[in-house]
Amino acid sequence: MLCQHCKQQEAIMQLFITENGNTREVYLCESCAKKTQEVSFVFHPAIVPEFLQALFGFNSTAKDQPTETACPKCGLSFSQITQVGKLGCSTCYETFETQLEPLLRRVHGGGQNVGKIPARRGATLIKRMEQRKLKETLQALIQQEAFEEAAVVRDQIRKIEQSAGGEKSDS
Amino acid sequence: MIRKELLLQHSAWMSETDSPVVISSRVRLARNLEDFPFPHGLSQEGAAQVEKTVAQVLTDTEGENKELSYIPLTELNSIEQQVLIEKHLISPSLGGATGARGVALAPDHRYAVMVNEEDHLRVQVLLPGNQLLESHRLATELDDLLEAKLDFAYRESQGYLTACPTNVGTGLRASVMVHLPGLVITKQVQQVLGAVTRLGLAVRGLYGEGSQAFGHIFQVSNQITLGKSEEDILTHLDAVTRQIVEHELQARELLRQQTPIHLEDKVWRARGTLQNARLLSSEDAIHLLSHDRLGTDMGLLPKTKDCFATLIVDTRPGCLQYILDRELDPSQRDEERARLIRERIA
Repeated sequence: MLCQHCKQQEAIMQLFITENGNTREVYLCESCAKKTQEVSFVFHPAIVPEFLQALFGFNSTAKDQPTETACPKCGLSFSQITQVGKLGCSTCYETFETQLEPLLRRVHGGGQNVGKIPARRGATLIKRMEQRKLKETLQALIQQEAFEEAAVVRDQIRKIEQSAGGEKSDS
Repeated sequence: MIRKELLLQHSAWMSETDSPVVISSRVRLARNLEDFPFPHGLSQEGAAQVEKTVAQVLTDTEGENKELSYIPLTELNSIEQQVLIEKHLISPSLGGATGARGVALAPDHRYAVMVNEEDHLRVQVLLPGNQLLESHRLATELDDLLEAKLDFAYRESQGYLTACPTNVGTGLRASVMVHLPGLVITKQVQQVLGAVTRLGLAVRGLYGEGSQAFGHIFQVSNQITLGKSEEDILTHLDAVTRQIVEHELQARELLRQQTPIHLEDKVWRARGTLQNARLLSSEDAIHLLSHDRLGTDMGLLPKTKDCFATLIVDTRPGCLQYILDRELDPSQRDEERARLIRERIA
């Protein structure tokens, strides 16, 4: 949606303007919004799907190299996903990983998942993460020449390696 | 508990707390079953199957406040659905949708789990005041119980997988509902909330409508769900919320010092109207209740029998008709709204 004021830039926020006791809403771009006085502004969720479609659309990889690959589970193509603004199923994340990457970077800033891991299904993953963390601690302790503490951490790493699910240590 | 009794139950988040600015906290976790397409791609039968599977597990959970009752939305009339929306227990989009979908409610509504909304499961916890961490603890407890029995869609690199990529990762949306009359009256709200939106947080009004006309109530929530831990997301929102509270309290103090008589006039005028009006529109009621709450918070008015959040919710069109057990046209609603407020504010 274009800014209702300059009619040139993309509108990024919905503003509620109160004049003489009457409230009206306008969609403005950032620079026009900044110029507007006496408003209370609210980022409105109603326009999120539109922006999301725009975000999908911005994906140059998808535009330049149109692909008709369909998700093997739900059958949706990436262009269909773009139209709806939603993925079809969990497998879409794997099927369209490359196309989704720039979008996820724009929305979330490009980080990898560091959140909760499901306890039952992610048991192996949890062990691997624990092990990685311990290895980092071990390196730090060695650098500090805290060898006694380092030996304790090394034993903990070995214990995880011996149980199923751990990564084999390089050292 | 029979359905009407459950729906009319006083929701935990509407209780009065000693927090003068933060009305309530909410944490929502988005989860999907691995073996089914996301809700918008489900066939009728598929949606019914997801609902059956999930409702079974939800109603099997045990533990403090976790005796959940599952309510299929297909069994509710439009006023009952409106009540759930007005109490913030379901989203307007779940109410407006069709097909197999519903909500599992705890007796005091602290848990409200939506089924087949945008994702198969939306685990929500709603508590009064600033209780983001406690809300998250409760949500995680229930999530763990569900995860023991259901296979949630999850990838190591992207975390919990959701229909909309804006929720992927933690699936966590945390929000606080804040009452900011001081910032609105002193015309600082745009500046303060504008700063908040630059910190990766989103701001919207109560029920998503306009701001000033709707009780000076705003909702602030995180936008980023991937690449940050739950703890980081909650700590950030909590820190920003504390800043907002600080600014609001300063604005109130400014009003007390610079225009004390105008402030007193505003809040007493609100109390007087609420105690005596014979007709009140929904919008008028919220606006006056907001000024009344400002007055009680600042010790200028005696406390009312019912608290702010309860009065705002109970006087919305759906709740009002459900409480009175009859359909009312808009002018009848204005009359009944004024009557209900007169009785409860005494």
